[in-house]
Parts: sequence; structure tokens; C-alpha cells
Amino acid sequence: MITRRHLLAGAAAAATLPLNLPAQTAEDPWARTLRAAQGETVYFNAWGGSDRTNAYIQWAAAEVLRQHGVKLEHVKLADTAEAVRRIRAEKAAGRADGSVDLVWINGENFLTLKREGLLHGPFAESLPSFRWVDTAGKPTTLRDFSEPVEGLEAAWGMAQLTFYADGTRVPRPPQSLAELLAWAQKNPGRFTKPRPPQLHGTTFVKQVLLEATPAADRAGLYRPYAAAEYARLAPRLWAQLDALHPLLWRGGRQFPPSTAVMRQMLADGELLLSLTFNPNEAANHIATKNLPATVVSFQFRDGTVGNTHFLAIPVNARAKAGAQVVANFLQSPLAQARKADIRHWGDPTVLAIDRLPPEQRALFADSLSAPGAVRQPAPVLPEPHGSWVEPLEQEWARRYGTAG
Amino acid sequence: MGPALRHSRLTAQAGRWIARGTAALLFALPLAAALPLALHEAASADAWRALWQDPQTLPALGASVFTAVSSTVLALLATLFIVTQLHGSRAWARVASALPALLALPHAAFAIGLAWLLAPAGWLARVLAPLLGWSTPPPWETVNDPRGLALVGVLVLKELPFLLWSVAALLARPEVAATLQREQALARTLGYPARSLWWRVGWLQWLPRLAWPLLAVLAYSLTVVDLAVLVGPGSPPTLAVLAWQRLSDASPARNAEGAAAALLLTAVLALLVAVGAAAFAVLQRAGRCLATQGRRPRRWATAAGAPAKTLAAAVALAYTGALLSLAMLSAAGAWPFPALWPALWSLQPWQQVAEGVATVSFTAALAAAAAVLALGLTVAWLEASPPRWDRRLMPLVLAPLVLPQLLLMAGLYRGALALQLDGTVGGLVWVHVLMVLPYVFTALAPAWRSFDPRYGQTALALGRSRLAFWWRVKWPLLAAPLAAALAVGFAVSVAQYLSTQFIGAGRHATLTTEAVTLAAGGQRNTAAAFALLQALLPVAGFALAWGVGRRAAAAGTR
Repeated sequence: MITRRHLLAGAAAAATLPLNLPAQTAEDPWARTLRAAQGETVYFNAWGGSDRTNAYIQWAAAEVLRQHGVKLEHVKLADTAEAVRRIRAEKAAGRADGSVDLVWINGENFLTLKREGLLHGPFAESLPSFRWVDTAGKPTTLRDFSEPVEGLEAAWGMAQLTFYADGTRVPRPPQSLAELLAWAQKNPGRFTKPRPPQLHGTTFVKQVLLEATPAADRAGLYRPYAAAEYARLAPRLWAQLDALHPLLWRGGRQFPPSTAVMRQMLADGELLLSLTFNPNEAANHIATKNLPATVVSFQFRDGTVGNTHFLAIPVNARAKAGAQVVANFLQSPLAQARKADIRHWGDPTVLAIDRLPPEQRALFADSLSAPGAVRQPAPVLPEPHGSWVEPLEQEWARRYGTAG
Repeated sequence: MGPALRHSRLTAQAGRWIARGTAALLFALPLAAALPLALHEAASADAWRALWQDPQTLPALGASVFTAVSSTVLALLATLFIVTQLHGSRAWARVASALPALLALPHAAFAIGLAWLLAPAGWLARVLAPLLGWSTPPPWETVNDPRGLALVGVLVLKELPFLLWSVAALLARPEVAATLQREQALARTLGYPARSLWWRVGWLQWLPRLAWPLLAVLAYSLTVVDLAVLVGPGSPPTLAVLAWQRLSDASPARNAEGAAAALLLTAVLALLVAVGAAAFAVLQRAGRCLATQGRRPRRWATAAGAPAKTLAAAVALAYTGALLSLAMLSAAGAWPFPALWPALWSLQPWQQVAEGVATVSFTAALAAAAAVLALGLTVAWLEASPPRWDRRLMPLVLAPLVLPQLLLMAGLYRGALALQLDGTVGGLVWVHVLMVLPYVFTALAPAWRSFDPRYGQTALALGRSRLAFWWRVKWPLLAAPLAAALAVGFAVSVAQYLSTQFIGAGRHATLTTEAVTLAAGGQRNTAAAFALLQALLPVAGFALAWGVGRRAAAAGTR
């Protein structure tokens, strides 16, 4: 259907045509991408378990349609590995027009796609928004779980392991693993974590591993897995977990399926302490009245595990230009500011706010002052290399997986 | 024999073969193609080694077998108990009329609702809290308990209506009803109380005819994933959950382990069926001895139906409670323990549902299309093939019920990729037909096969065409079972999760996929709202079918 807007755009294009013609050969590649993206439909495969995240993606869909004429369809996943398996199966079946155009991804899933050559790119560093990404202050935007990104995915948001508790019932929140153990001894059964391989469960194991390993010894963890290094470092981890597990909810014999369930258990009063990967999660749920305003968030003094989540384009994507336009929009100051706003999502930005022009800097609200936000941000401990996950999860399952 | 007659016979025969061929092409062929593709994935020695060395495998298998066997046995015993005590009474009529509604409630919605009633921070604990002075939730292990008792409970409650329904369908068949009446009369003349007939003669006679429903229940309990995640044990979970986690992993090596675990479950299922058949043979012999001894039963065995009525009422209460708690949760904001009512009510989940009207209509349209197609295929088969062929067909028809869904879906997905059907609405309808057809067939076949052939002979003898007979006689007489089969198909399609995600390439959201992704994300109130809607849609289907059945019955008695 031809609308009035199309006609107007056509007329405008015709009017400027003669002026553009001489420059056609030297046209900047981004303008070409924008033009190719016009009218494309981008199937964005993204975890769909949060209605706030889903609502944010709906907002972005309306914006990219208005600004760039790109139609964004959110394919809601329960687990991102679903998309990884689909991309692989389509590639194996020789399908050039894949069902995934853009995927929200990081860590192991990224490593898998990168190793198997299933990613389109490099494209990320040629996106116009890339120049604002805080690659110096947030090195995880260039190394995804210690695997070099190499422009194969565009940084979208930041995550850092964060704990939260009701301030009236936990007046002095633990600031380190040792303090957490001491607190759990006084309050047995009131803290827990999901069971690996659930993301947060595995992350907590990594946090304990990093904290149990002296800083000088950590270099090996950032290189691909090596059995000798594992044998040297892992015993300290298991010693700490052996001490902690009996003090967890249900004596560490059972674990809740997700941190969302833990949030509910904390709201119900069954747990006193919970954890999340989004430093603003508690603030966010205070704002929607799912948590009481007395909840406080905190991180361990010496740092907690942090990482970046990304947007990648599969090698067999149909709408590659459209996917880049969407990725660029999602990385832009406008979209990042809305995402960081706890009223909408509260996911920390990947951009260097202090480097932005003043009017764009002003888009970012001061989220630190919101009730429930982290008051004293701790340093980020980068994730160990992705290849460490498998052996850690397997031994965890062997030691604690059958305790029930 | 005149040439005209021979010609018409040949056409009829060709028509039959076309009907059978279509049924086979749409149903059997994809299954036959999917299995090798799926088995191929499990054929890796490394995968079996990894599975064998994983310390979780054996305890997880133990948990699977325990929950599946105990829930199937308990559901069967409860069924036999209720039917024995209540059949023929007014209470039985009430139970039978409530069954479709209970059947229509999707498993996951029921589990979410019931779990909330029983959870440490759930409603039961909140009622008790002021009496016992609790300010924090009690350390109950009522859901996700390590022994899997919560899973057994939910499975029994959910399978009981299905088995009762199967028995009701069996006893409603004219030849069975006639035998039952004859035998009861005979029992009375021999001085036995009429009810003692069930244990002495009736069940031994009819249990073999419940073999397929029982097998479906056992297979479902053994391989169910969503219920096991919601209320099942966690350390380790059941083997089906471990298989699912591995099949959903990003790494192909882990996927192969998952396929191996799924295959292991299928082998265990075969073993359990063999054990069950042997146990029944022993029971039958023992039963015959008992029956021929001629001893009259003790009074308790023939007592009035009060305990069975209590049991039926308890089941109804559990369903009502689950639905009520879903309704309450779907409108609850913050709700700290031990408050009996939410501190804040919130309309936000329902606003979100309202924005998803397109999802509701897509779910309904997809389910209607799948149910109608499955009904068409079933009728084509039943009309074109002699009854004795059903027996041979049954294993094939029931394959989608009995095979672990994960394994089947992995294979079907490969096939859909090759045919470029993935992500299309056509592919989605087709896979729903595959999953819906077994239920439609089992729902319709008994009524169809017991249709008195003399009606047809009379109509033909009166010079009416086959079509006219079908349209004017057979269709109206079978309207009630046809509508019921359609409603069953509709309900099964609405509840599909894995098939929708796999073949739909995640592009087509239904109420079930929305409810499951939201439940996975822990959005309790929104998930409850979608689960409630997911439950209401098939209930509406059954209500419609019930209306058709009543009208047909009224028309028949006129």
C-alpha cells in the first residue's frame, strides 16, 4: 500500500536526486546500509521472560519503524540456546534465509556461534553508535567472557552480580564471601542460589572461585581452560562451597529454579537475601511495587563478577542491513538512556556517559539515587574464560547435584 | 455380478485406498521420517559414556521411575475405586459430567495454581500462620520436594479425570453396557452383591481394554518436563528434565547426551510396560481363583460409596482451589507473608493480556484448524478401514503420545527444515495435527465402532445413497461424540508448547508459549493471567461440545 508519507518521501528524494548524484560513488557505507534496510523485517530473537524487557523492545520496534522504516519482530525465547540450535540446524540444512536476523546473546552461546563460524561480521565497530561505547572503562564490551569480540557482536548492556536484601531485616549486609558465610551461620536457610547450569547459579560459583583465588593467581582463569590450572585452583572453591551449602535454604539439598523465583521468595519473606545480574533490579521492582521500598542492593567490597550482553547477527540472516540498523539504534544514547532508566528497564548502559554531547548526556537520569539502587558500586571482576564453565558445572553436579 | 456393480465397488475401493493413503501420508510418513533423524542424534558412543558417568543419571532415572509408576498406579486405583463404588448412582452422573472441564484444564496451569496453594508462602500456610504464630514462611517441603511426592500428587490429580473419562467411554459402549447389566443380574441371582462383580469379574475383563489410556498416562508421567520443572524434585531433577536441559543446550555434544537420555527413557518405558503386562497376567490368574472359590465378600468391600464420594469431592476441591489461586495471583501486586490477601491489587497483568488479543485469536484459530483436520483424517480412516485394522494402527497412532516429545520434535524439526516448513503457519498446523490426532482418534473410535451397522444397511436398503445416510442418519446420531472429539483436539492443540516452539521457529506465539516463557522468567502474576486464559479457552470448547451433545440427545429422544 502506498501511503501519503511514501509519496512525500519519494518527492523529497526526487528533489534531492541531482544534488546526490555526484557523491553516489563516495556514499558513506552506513547510508547504504540504511537504504538497504528500508522495508526489511528483522526477527529479533531475545529472551522473553520479563514483561518490562518485552515492553522496552516494543518501544524500540515503534522507534525503528518510525525513524528507519525497519519492522522489528520480537521472537520471545525461553532460553537463548534455542536460537543457537536453530541457527546451526538451518546452516546444516543449507538454508541461506535463516529465521534469526538478530539475537541477544553473550558468553557460552557467543563462543559456540563464533567457533562454528555462524556469525555475520565483523560489523559492530562500524556502527555509528560504537564511537560512544566505553571500551576503556568497560573492557568487557570488547571481551565477552574473556573471548575477544572482534566486532562480531554489538555491546547492548552491562551486568554485574549484585545482592539485595530487606534493609530492615538485614541491617548490615555482608560485604565479602567471608562475611556472607558468617551471616549465613546466624541466619541458616535464608539465602540460596539457583542450581548450575542456570546462569546465576553458575555465576555465583564463579564469584566464589574468583574470591577464593588470590588476585595474583587469577591470570590462568582468563585463559582457556587447562586441567593443571583447574586442579590447582578448584579445591579452594569447593572448600568454600562445602562450608556454605549446609547453611543455604533447605540445607543446600534443593535449589530454586531461577533468581526470579528467589525474588518472589524474598518478597514473601522466605528468603532474606537474594542475588541478581542487574544492579537496578531491586530498584526496578520497588518502582513497580513488587518489592517493599526498604530493600537495599549491594555488591562485595572487592568486586563482583560482571559482563556485557550483546547483539549478534547470524551468518544466514535474511535482513542483515536491517539488523545492523536495529543494533545501532539499540546502542544509541536515546535507546540506552531509556534502557538505563529504572522506570523502563534499569539495565546499565555500555556507553561512556561523560563523553557524550551535553544534550545526550542529559537523557540519562541519575539512577543511583533511586530507592533500592546500589549505593557504592564495586569494581567489576571480568568473567573467567567461557571454556571454564563446562568443567566447573560438571564437578558441581558431581559434588552437589544429587544431594537431594 | 453386473459390470455396473463391479464398477461402483471398484470406485469405493479406490476411495478407501485414497482415504487410507491420505491418512498415512499426513500422519505416518512424517513420524517414520522423524524417528531415524532423532535416533541418529542419539547414536553416539561418547554421549552414552558421558551419560553413564554422570552421577546424576541414575538417581534422576530413579526419581523418574518412582514418580511415573506411583502416579500411574495411584491414579488407576483411585479410578477403579471411584467407578466401583459410584457407577450407576447419581453421584456417578455428576462425576461424569464434571470430567470434561477437569480434562480441559491444561497441566501447567493446574500445577501453577496448586503449587501456590501448598507452597511454604502459599495460601494454606497463610491461613495457618496466625494460629501457629508464624511471621516467616514455614520450612515446608511441600513443592519441589526431593522425593517427588508433589509431582506424584499433581500427576495423580491430573491423570485421574483422563482415566475416569476413558472408563466412562468404555462402559458407555452398548455391548459393554449390556454385558455389565447381564453380569450384574447374574451376580444378584447367585447371591452376590451387585458391586462385588467389579473386583471379581468386571475389572479383570475390562482392564486390558484400558491398556492404551494407561500406557499414555505412564508415558506422559515418565517423560513430562514442564510439570517436573514446576513442582518436581531438583537435586537431581527427573531424567526427562535432565534430557530436556541437554537437548536445549547450545553444544551439539550435550544435545547428543540429551537424545541418549530421551532414548533411555523410551527403553525404560518399554520395560515398565512388559513388567506391567506380566503383573496383570499374574493378577488375572489370582483373580480367577478368587472368583471361582465362591466365597461371599465381606461387608466392607461392598459398603456404600461414601469414601469414594469424599475422594471425588477432594479432587474437585483441588481443581477449584487451583483455579481460584490462579485468579487471585493474576491480580496480585506485592503480597508479603503472612497476609491472607494481597497488600496491593494490580490490573497490569490483565492489561498485558488485553494487549495480546492477537495471541488469543491465533491460538484459537490454530487449535480449531488442527482439531478439524485431525477429525477429518480420523473419520476418513474409520470410514475406509475395517475395525480389525484399528488394532494394528493403534501403535502408530499412539506413537506421538508414547515417544518422548523432545526426541520426536528434534526429528520433526529436521524434516520441517528440509521441506522449508519451519516457521510457517502451514507447518505449525501440520505438527499440531500430529499431536492432536491420537487424542481425537481415541476419543472418537469407540463411539464410531459401536455404531450399529444395521442403520446403514436399512438406509441402503431403502435406496438412500451413502452420502445421504451419512448426512441424515450417522452424523446426527454421532454428533455428541464428534463434538467431544473436536473439543479434545482443540484442548490438546492449545496446550502444545514444544511443537509450537520447534516447528514455529519461535515466530508464532500462543497462550501456552507466552505462559511458559513468562513462568520461566518468574513473572508470577502475568504468568498466572496467561495460564488462566490458557485454561479458559479449552473449557469454552468443551462447553460448546457439551451443548451440541445435549441438543443432539434432545433431538434423539424426540
